[in-house]
Amino acid sequence: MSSSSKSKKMRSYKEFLLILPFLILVAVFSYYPLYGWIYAFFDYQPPLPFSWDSFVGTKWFKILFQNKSYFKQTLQVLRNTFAMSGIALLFSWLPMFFAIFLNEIKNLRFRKFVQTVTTLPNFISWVLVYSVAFLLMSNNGMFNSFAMDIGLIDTPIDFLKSNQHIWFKMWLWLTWKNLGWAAIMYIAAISSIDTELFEAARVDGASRLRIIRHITIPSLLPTFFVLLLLNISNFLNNGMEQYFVFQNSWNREYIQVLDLYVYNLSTSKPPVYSVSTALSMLKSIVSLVLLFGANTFSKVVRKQSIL
Amino acid sequence: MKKQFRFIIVAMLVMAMLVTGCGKKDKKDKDTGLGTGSDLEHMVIEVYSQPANFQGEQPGWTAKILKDKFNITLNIIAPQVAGGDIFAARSASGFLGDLVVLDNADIQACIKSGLIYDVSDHMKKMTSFEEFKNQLDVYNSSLDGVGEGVYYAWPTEMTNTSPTTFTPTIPGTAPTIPWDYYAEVGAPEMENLSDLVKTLRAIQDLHPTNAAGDPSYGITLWPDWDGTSIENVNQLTKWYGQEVNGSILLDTSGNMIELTDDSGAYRRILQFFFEANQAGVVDPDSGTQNWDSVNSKFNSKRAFLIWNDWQQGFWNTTERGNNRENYMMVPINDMNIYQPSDPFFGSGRAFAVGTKDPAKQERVMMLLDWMSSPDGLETIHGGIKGFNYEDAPDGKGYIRTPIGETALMDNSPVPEEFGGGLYADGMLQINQWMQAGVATNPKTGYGYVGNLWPAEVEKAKTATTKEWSERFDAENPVDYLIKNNKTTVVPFVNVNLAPDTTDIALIRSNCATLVKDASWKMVFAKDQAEFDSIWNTLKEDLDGFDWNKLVEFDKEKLQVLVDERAKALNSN
Repeated sequence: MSSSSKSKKMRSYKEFLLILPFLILVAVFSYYPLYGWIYAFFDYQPPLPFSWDSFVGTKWFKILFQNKSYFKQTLQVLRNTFAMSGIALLFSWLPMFFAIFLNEIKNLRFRKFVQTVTTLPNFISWVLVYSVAFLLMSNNGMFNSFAMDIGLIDTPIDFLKSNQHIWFKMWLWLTWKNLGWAAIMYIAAISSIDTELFEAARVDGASRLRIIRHITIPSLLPTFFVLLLLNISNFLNNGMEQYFVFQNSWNREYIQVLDLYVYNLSTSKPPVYSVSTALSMLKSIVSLVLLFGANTFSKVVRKQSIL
Repeated sequence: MKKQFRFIIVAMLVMAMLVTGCGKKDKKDKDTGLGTGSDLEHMVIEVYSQPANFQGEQPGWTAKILKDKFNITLNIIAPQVAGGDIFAARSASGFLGDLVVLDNADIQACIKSGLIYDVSDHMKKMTSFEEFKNQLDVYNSSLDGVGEGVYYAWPTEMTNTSPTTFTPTIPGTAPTIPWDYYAEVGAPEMENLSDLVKTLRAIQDLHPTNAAGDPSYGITLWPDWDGTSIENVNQLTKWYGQEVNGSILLDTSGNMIELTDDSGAYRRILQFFFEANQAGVVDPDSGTQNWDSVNSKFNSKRAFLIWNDWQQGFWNTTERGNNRENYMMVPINDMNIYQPSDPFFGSGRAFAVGTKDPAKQERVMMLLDWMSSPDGLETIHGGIKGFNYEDAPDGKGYIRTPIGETALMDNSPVPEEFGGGLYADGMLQINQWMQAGVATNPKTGYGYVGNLWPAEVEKAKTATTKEWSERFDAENPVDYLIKNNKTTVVPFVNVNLAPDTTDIALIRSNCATLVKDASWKMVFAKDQAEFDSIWNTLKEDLDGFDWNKLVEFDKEKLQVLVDERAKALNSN
């Protein structure tokens, strides 16, 4: 063996050691939890430990589809998940345009102010958001008191109890909370665009809108597509906190998304861990399918794989 | 080159430590500096408490007492704070806590899975359990796989009265409204719930806002505590002699009908709330507000109808009583209240020891021994002698100090000599006691809770109660109910009911959502037709989720309870 191949080998060991900690992290935090899927195949009732007596095979998967009512329930939950994720996906260009327009503001102070104000809500927990929503929107809340005082309405409007336009309202809350935060990525991307491009365009007499259309947006598209893909793979993962705090008996039919359904099952009394594990397993599989689907789509359309 | 290598190794070590959770826990316990007269080594006792509403180290005056007496610090784990998953997580790790407080069904499962330990040997050394040997024997022998003379668990809130006695002077649940407002609208005699709606409407017309100008309502409800059905409704079904038990309405003579029976009390109470809402006396935020918001409404007299006995604590004081402002029970002629007796055999939960370590077991047992001794119970139910109460001048038991009367309500500061902090925060945060407050204190011959002390009974006679007694010709609400045949006391038996199988739990979870959602919509339905149609749809929908199986399961399960009740009645 030559000395050069030896040192090459040595180097590859060393480089492997460099990534090893991250491999361990991924294994511990991303792969080890998959072991928990085993619960879906057992009749698990804490605190009784596992035993083969409680092995039930795919019973819990079947139960979700066998009975008409359960099937309807699962469909309803999926409908809500798809609807709300769909709306979010449909408007996923919003942060990009927000970032672009924000970038056009020439008054630096004002720009920073807007950016801070829109980013801040991201750090407020949903529980607090609901408290604010309750104080503002309940029957005795600020909005109704104010509107009644100035004679705008006679009887309070019950915003929280109503299920009208609930998906859209949920999207508004989400956008209020996330817009500024989601725009950060695009703001960073804009600042990395070669300034010579802008200067050249300006010399050629391009207007601001034209610069946006022909330079800024095309430069941001790769970022947009990567984020879009990530969003698609998170399609079923629209989180439960928001819907958990806003759910009530009037809107649950439209607001109970997959994650919330899993949570509601696993926290009911007594908890139904096995079934909720089975459900969340199905979710992961569907997410994978969506991810690869989107990637194939990207390959076909942009001739370029993202993964 | 070498330097780089060293860097890599250090980086890996740091990573490894991050992954393994930053090394071992620091076992050294900090001395809180409270000063201890004890020779015992300091221990931290982890308490897993199902009913606790507080998580963390026990603060305040109780912490001082426990530190002084046993040199222990309690670290409380509360599933109600941490989330129910913590039970599964901790039991999977094989350790729930040194001391555990669990529901009966969980106690049984924890014995099976080896999470709690047989402490019969320690029991022999303890003194306070002797008085309750009968109840302990009954309870432990009812557990599967526990032999005779073996002790695993102690039922909570036992009493030394009798299985059929009901000691308190106010019932567990009854229509209760502010006395001055009731008198103001002419103290009307009420035949039925419709009359109650009328009374509430009349009161709300006179008092649309409270003193501070915030809108008040006849009734305010909250969804936080809902289980299989609306908890607020469940409390009111007892006015008509039926108790909600999952999918079953159980009556005082042991008959069972399903929750969704058209003639059952559940629908009747929904109808009452619906009519009340039609009359405009239900707080429109009822379905969306949480307990915190309700709490503040009760504290500021923004709701006129209350039902549970403990709700009176939000408002009633001696001073307000003398101003005729206290909440008082007002009878409805067609009611017959389902009233469980004193929890002689325990209230449905139990204490158990969850540590293997003999030294820790012994310390936990010392704590339990104290918690069931008159000394401990006086402290837990009455507070600090010299701060909350003192010896009564006539020698008959104790009397509350002026600060003791409001210490709980106001969360008053406690003097440094007793441990400082705030009074309510410093109460035993396990939130469960060995004997109920109505048990008789052998030291005084009266109950442990203040309102059973003769001096306090005397003090509680305010302008409100005097007028009330004149109007209803009875000493107190329970006296009235018994005299007029408006309550039936059922023996409170403490039995281990069969836990749900996963299949049943799944049915229950899905049906519960249907029942709750439909019930809330019914209360706020726009007319009777909508009310009826939601009810009928609910019944159809429930069938699809195998509601019948759940009803069958619950019936079979509750039969055990019914049989035990019959036994308790016959043996008395």
